[in-house]
Amino acid sequence: MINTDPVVTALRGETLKSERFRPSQVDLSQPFVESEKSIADDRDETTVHDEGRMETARLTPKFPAESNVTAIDATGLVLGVIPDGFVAALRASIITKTPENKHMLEHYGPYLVAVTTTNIDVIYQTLYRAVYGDTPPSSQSPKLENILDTVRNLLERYLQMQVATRSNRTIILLDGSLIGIIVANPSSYVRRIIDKSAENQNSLVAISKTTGLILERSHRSILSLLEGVLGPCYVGDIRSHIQQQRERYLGDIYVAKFTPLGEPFRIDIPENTPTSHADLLNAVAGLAGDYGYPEELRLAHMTCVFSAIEILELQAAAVAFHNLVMEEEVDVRQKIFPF
Amino acid sequence: MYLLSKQADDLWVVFSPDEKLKLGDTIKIEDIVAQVVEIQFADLPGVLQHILRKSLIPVSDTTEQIQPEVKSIIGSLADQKVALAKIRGRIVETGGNKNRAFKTGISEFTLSRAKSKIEVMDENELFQLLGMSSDQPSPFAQTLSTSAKPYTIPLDQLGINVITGMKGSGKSYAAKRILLELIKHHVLTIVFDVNGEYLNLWKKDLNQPNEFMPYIKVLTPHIRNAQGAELPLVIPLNEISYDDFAQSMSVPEGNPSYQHLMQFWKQWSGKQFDLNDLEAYVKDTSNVPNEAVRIALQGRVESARASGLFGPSSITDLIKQLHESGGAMIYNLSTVSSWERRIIVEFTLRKLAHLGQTKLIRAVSLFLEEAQLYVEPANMINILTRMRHVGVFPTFITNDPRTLPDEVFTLLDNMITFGFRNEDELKQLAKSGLVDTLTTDVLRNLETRQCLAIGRITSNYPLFLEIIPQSGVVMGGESRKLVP
Repeated sequence: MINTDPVVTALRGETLKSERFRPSQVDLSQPFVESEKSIADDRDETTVHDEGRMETARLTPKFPAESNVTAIDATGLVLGVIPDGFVAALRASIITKTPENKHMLEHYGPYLVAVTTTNIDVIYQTLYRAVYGDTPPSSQSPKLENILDTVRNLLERYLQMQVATRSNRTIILLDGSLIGIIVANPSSYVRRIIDKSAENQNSLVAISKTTGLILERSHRSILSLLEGVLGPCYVGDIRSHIQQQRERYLGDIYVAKFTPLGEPFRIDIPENTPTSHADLLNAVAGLAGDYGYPEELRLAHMTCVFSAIEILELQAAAVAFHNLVMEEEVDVRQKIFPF
Repeated sequence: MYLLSKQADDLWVVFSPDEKLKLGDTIKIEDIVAQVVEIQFADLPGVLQHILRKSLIPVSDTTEQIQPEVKSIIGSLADQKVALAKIRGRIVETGGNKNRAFKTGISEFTLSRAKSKIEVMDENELFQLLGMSSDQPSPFAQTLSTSAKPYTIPLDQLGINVITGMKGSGKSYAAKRILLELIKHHVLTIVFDVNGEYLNLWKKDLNQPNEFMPYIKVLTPHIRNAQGAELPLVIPLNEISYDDFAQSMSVPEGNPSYQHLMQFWKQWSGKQFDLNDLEAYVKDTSNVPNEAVRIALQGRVESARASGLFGPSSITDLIKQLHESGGAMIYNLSTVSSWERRIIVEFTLRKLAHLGQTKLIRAVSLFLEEAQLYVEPANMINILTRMRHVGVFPTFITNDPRTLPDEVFTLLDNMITFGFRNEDELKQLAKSGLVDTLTTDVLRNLETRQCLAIGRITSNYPLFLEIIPQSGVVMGGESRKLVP
């Protein structure tokens, strides 16, 4: 298991004192609660010049039977609100497929984090330092509405670095992209993850379901490049068609469909992988299940999201740990307009 | 614990993993007394998906790092349980001294889901309410509850009793425990032992007698000499009918030999006679002129003599003696034919009825193991009704309650039931009216030597018990193993 003490200590912060707590609504008829990752790795739209032909190449799926494959995912969820803040839970999963085709799961969390306008800077700076070893630029403190996703992202990057460090000759699958120069993902740190992976003969593959890269002519997402095209196939190299701020993109960018009728995904692969990109894409295609998503990444996602039952338990844990006082949610409209 | 719902006399109670509740526990909700008869997981929406998700990766391949303050709570909601408790009655205050008593039934329901406190009732308090004491030196069993308590059968409350349960569930063991207690209380018990289960009760181990030896006699047919506690079982010829004798000697009804036997019995009616008298009758050619018939009858007489079953008997004196001191007469019916079994039992029952009617005995306990093997249903009803009035208290011990007539269950005073799985057998038990079907369903989950006792011996409150082992007595019968 990875030592997450530095991160957990930063998350724990100080215990709240008898704050009023309004728990988030939990609908038990929805067994699992998804939370969108709002930190888009490429938040702003970037234009991809598509005047030249972008060739589509076929993929030959090849299951990487003799390789370790590791997938990492993390999730965060608001458990309820307190005056000037909220209490949330975070969890990360690392799934590893062994050469014997066995799947192992490492669960990190749930971790409780209580954030208010008073402690947001302390939590952010402590966590940033624990992960990146550096103080964040003071001009860019996150807002309360974004802090949870920032914290989740920091936890995920920390684990990505740890996995890159401890693994050898492993295909490492990440949810997201390899992009730097934004507060949450300093390019130096993402670069370090990439370099550490290469040093240990690991192959990093980042997979995104969405992207801000837009085709210049059609003004549509680059994922539309494979619209109506039967997979498995891919289009690359997209990065060479980006002119603005190309240096943000720390890997070659592809759009790929890993199964005949699968969804298209954006794929970022660093230049310095020990295996060729074509072979890597074939290996990822070999791992793809239904809808064309790699099975290990799917398992990592499925095992880290919170079930409705877990959310109720975590709300109880938050109340007990922080000595919170439960307060039922008041529907103001109901109050004003009872009939 | 929280009250979830009520339907008729069923209460549903939610409780968390760290609250201890067992089948058979009595719970108190304000003044209402209910008994737990079923425990299930609380049915939560989404719990199936929650568990299926956990099952994606085996536990052995999963490692976790959970924050300590969260760890104890994770999993607790999925482990919440619901107990179904049967309302048994309520606690009422009686008299000026505010004594508390237990009353069955409830006529008003004032419990609150939010405010009513639910607690497991202490067995001492329950026993006190039921007017049962338990501070006896050798308790019969202990209660199957979170706080187990010794339980002693109040022997004076034994009337018409049934002890039943699947083969191997512990019913004969319980019957033997009761028998030994009856001996200690100077009660005579007659046991019809079809499986040879009671033969060693006078032994401490296979080589030594125990303290009960002077009071236990094993009556075995077809043996000549007494040995240890074993005595020959002999029936006086004049105390059985010609038909019984004919059946046991394979003399077909209606043939000349049968006619002669009938004639002999008629001639000697009201008098004492034995095989010598029958032999003399047969040898007399004026009684049996046909030589072939004479030879056949002579052969039967010799067979009867060789069997050792017929002859002068001291059973009456033995009954009187053991009735005085307390004891047990074990009729070893494991080695005899079905006809002989029937003859022996009917002879004994007639003897007991006569001794009871003439007040030569006050009362005896009668244990009938698998009575359907030797007592006609009509005779069972006779045992229940007539013989009770002459001081015979029957206890029916059986693997299958369906072999007993319904009248046994409707007239029952006490029932001790061990494990059952079969639906029909469980339904038969409910005919007693002593227990509801939901409570009898608990019998499916009982382990060996665990039982449900209800009736006058438990102040009509269903008690789940585990029989306490007996020391110093060989409780098993004589059985041979197929594989040495």
